Amino acid sequence: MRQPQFIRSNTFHRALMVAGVFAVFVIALFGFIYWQIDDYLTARSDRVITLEIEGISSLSPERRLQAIDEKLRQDPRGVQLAAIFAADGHRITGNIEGLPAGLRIDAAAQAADIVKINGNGPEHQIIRAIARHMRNGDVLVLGRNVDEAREISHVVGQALGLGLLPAFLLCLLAGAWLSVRAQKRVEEVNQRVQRIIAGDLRERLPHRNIDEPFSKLAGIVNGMLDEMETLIHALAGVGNDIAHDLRTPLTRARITLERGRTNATNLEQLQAVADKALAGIDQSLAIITALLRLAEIENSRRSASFANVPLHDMLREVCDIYEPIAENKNITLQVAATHRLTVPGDRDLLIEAVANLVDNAIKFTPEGGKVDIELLRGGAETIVRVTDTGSGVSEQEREAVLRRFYRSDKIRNTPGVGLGLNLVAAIVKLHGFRLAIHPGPGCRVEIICPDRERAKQPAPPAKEQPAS
Amino acid sequence: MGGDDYLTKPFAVVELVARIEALLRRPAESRETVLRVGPLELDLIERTAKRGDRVIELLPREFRLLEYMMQRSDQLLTRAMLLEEVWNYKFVPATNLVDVHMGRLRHKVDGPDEAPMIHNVRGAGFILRAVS
Repeated sequence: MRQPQFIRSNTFHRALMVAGVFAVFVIALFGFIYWQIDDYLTARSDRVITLEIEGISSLSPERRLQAIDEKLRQDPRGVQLAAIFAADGHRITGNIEGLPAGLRIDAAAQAADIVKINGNGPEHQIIRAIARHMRNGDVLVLGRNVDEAREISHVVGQALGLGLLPAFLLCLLAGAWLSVRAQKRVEEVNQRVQRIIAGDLRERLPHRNIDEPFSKLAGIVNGMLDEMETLIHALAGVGNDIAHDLRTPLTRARITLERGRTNATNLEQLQAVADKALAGIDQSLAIITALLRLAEIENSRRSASFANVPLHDMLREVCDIYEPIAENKNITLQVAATHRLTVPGDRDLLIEAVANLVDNAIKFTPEGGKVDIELLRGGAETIVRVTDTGSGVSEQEREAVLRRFYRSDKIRNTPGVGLGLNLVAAIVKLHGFRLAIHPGPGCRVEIICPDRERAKQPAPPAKEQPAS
Repeated sequence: MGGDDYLTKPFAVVELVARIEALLRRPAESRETVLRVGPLELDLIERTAKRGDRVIELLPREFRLLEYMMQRSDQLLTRAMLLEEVWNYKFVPATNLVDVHMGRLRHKVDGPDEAPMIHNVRGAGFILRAVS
């Protein structure tokens, strides 16, 4: 037979445990209370009979007899015991049949086993008793029945029974309830997660606005799901962009070929058409190449092969490569690298990043402008800064330029793919550097390389001597 | 094992063919210190270039480009190959980097009255040919 699920649940087991501990504790508590009461009552009886025996023994023998009779008469509850025995042991007066065997005389109050005589005949009792030798040789015994304690214990036991059982049941019930509730929520979460797995990305976990761990957890997971949904949509968006950007040149190539096929009359015309078509296809290929390169960089874990890259040499090399192009456009390209600075990194990738920035700068700077490449130290950072005198990046476009295929409206007619800065960003991220794009006219882009404490050679500060 | 060259997709067929040809006609590991193609002469020790009697002033990068082309004369050299071998670039820049550099080199190598040696192959790359 299968147990109901809530009984097997962890919560229920814990509730059961708590109930058990609770019961043990309550029993111990009641025991302690009983023991304390019993102790108190006994001590009180002892005090009373000790006082009484002092009083009675100080009386004359005749008065003693009277006092005892008096005392026994005035005892409606029948808890008082008193007797005087002659020196030979026979009873002179009182309601105790014989001198109790174990009772030590002239000692403190103690427990004694006696036989009480009353109207209904002899009755065996255990009492607190005290005995004294009188001056005339008699033995005076005073006692008090402490059955009250037993009655109290009975009451305590009853209270225990009445209180403990419902409490224990309550514990179990609470455990079962909590367990069922938790089970229900887990089941609900499970169902929703199943739906999410099945592809319903808009589904969220149940969430109540209470300060409770489960709700908090659900809130966290929901936050994660929000992020994932955005990312997945962004990814789908990238897919659309790629399709779009590929379709345009391919469509153009196709139309060109189609027209050429119908209209061309000689080989030269056909060749011109083919060249145009090739240009369109080349652009598509360039996009795909750039995308693959981007993926390659983003997925690579090259940091293991990082070496110290001398940035000043690298910047000069980039400048060297781009100088003719800048000159063709009548743009001044300058490097300002007064310090010999190195950063840990992959030289090829870093050249690619800086070259991309310079490439961009030259492309977007009008004729007669200026492009500066600078190597700076600031704080605990090494900064490569590329500044141009082009139209710059506006505040609104700052985020957008890092998106794939983003191309500003201002540059619609400049050839390009719209992935250059993506590549730069990917390379920069791979190195643990930062890319800063400053808005405003005259674009300023910085690759910020924070110093790494772990590096064995504290690269930049030590080498900060002016380059020869 | 060891591969001499590789291409990742996507690539143009002309690129593949050019690379295969380049591998097949790999320049012999020569100890030549002076390269000659037709009237063109390149002294690798002195770092000087001459066409006939005319001395050609070359920048370091141009020298390297011409050296690479002279070692592979009569071969089609694609832009990607040149970028990789001469500039050590493993990516294709957005601007027409190779064309600009080649344009300057051609300007220096092929004087106004001389027969052109550096030829542009449309849509493919460049070839250095000895003047016949």
